Amino acid sequence: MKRVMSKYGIIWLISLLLLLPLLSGCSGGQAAQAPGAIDKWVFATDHEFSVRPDGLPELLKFYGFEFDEVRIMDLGVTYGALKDGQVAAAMGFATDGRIAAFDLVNLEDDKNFFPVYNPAPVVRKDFLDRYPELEELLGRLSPLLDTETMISLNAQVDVENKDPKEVARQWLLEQGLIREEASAPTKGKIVVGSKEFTEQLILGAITIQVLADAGFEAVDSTGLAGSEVVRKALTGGEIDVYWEYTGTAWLVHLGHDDPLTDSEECYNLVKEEDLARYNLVWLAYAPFDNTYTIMMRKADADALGIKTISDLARVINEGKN
Amino acid sequence: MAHRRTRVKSWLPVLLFIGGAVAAAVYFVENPGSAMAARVLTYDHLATLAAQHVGMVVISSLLAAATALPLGILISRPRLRLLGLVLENLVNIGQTIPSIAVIALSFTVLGLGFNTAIFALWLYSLLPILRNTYAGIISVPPGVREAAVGMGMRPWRILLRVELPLAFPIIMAGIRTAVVVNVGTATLATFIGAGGFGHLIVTGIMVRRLQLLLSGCILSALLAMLCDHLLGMVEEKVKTSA
Repeated sequence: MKRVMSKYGIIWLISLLLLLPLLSGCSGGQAAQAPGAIDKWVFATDHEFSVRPDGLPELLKFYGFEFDEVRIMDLGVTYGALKDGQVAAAMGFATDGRIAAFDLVNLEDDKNFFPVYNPAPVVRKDFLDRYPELEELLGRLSPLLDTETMISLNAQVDVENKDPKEVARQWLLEQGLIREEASAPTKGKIVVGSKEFTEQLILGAITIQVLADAGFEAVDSTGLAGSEVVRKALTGGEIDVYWEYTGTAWLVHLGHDDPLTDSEECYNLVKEEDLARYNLVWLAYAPFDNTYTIMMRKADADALGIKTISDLARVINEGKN
Repeated sequence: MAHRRTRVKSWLPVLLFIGGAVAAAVYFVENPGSAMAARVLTYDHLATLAAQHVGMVVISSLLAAATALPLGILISRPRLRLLGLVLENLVNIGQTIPSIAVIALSFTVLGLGFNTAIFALWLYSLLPILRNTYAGIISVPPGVREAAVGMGMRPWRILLRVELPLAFPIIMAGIRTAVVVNVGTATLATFIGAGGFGHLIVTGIMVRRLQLLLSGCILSALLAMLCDHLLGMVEEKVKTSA
């Protein structure tokens, strides 16, 4: 038995010996650096952003700078790669909860390169005519939803693993928008839809609870897969309201090719065209903008005095001269 | 003469496939069909991706062979039969874990990049090589081994002169399986920033450009086919020289 054990021991030893150099060689990442000490500007992007016409190549041309190296990876991975110091800057979505949780910062798109994606509740005209109070009820939510608020709500779900419904309820209670106890429904039935990702689930949950508080029978039909599906559900009458993004409507549902980069302009154009063509009404839009963003670690950005993408371009270009 | 004819025949479909694949790749580079695809489909970029892909496959396969062969031999020793059974079952279970999960798990521990991809691919290709080495040596008839002992051969000589040569085709089959699977699995390495032909496939899916998707698929299929054929040639060479 002792002999067998020693043989087992040899096998483990051999496999460990073979594993160790690999593990230590791979456990990579850069050693901790002083904030702002970036000697190589490596940028992390997902596959889509690396080729899209409103993506990286045009952004670099527009702001007039180049990264030393561009590394392409899965979208969900860019935030972690930036946090762990494997890259100096990364792309992501501006309202992702990990931005706050990982101590990252969005660089301001000071030259308005990125198309705008402000969300607003959308309802059918005939439905709004039946319940005109919706306009005020949902419209007052929008101005409260700025980028910081949305990042924090998203973070509670994505990073702290809370339930979107509970996060929505907490926020609404804090804002004094609903009462602790919902009354029994006395008004008509409203079906609330949403797309399948975190932010949409939260917006859906907020809407449902506000409607329920106002005495409507709010039906939960959130979490539908994809923009096209939710939009069809709305125009087909299977759902009555959901939050759509102005940029998505402009490019996808209304089929325009030229992305718009001004929130106000995009909202007004979409609102007008969607009413005329599809009989849909866009209620007030939220100030937060779920668009692409360029992120850095907060410590680095502060140390280098980078607040905007122009600042980043300047720092990188100065470093090269 | 007959031997030579079979060789030509076995080359023919491979040559046809290689020709077709290269032609398709060239066609897609010359006719990307959209500005988005054109940005990715340049000869320069394809060469980089090919180098990354080949690098990942070759390094991880060599490491896997270097680990799994000795380990397979070790567990085939009569004294370690029990361990062999345990390990073989572990290996069977291990192979049922999806390759993307292996890559994702390695990523959570080791972080981004080429080295992580190598590690995941190495881990994933250990299994077929280990299993086939073990099975190949075990399948040597006891009579043959006894005859070798009877001739006064020492255990080392029995291993090198009797067991390994007889097990060779089975071991090679394992290595070939591992390498071909490796070429496919390496397309997933693009998720963790290690590049390779997977870059074309994933970008193609993301932005719905068939040219990208197809050129990625065709090039990795081409690489798999080439690797398999080259290993087949090595196998032939060793067999005939032995």
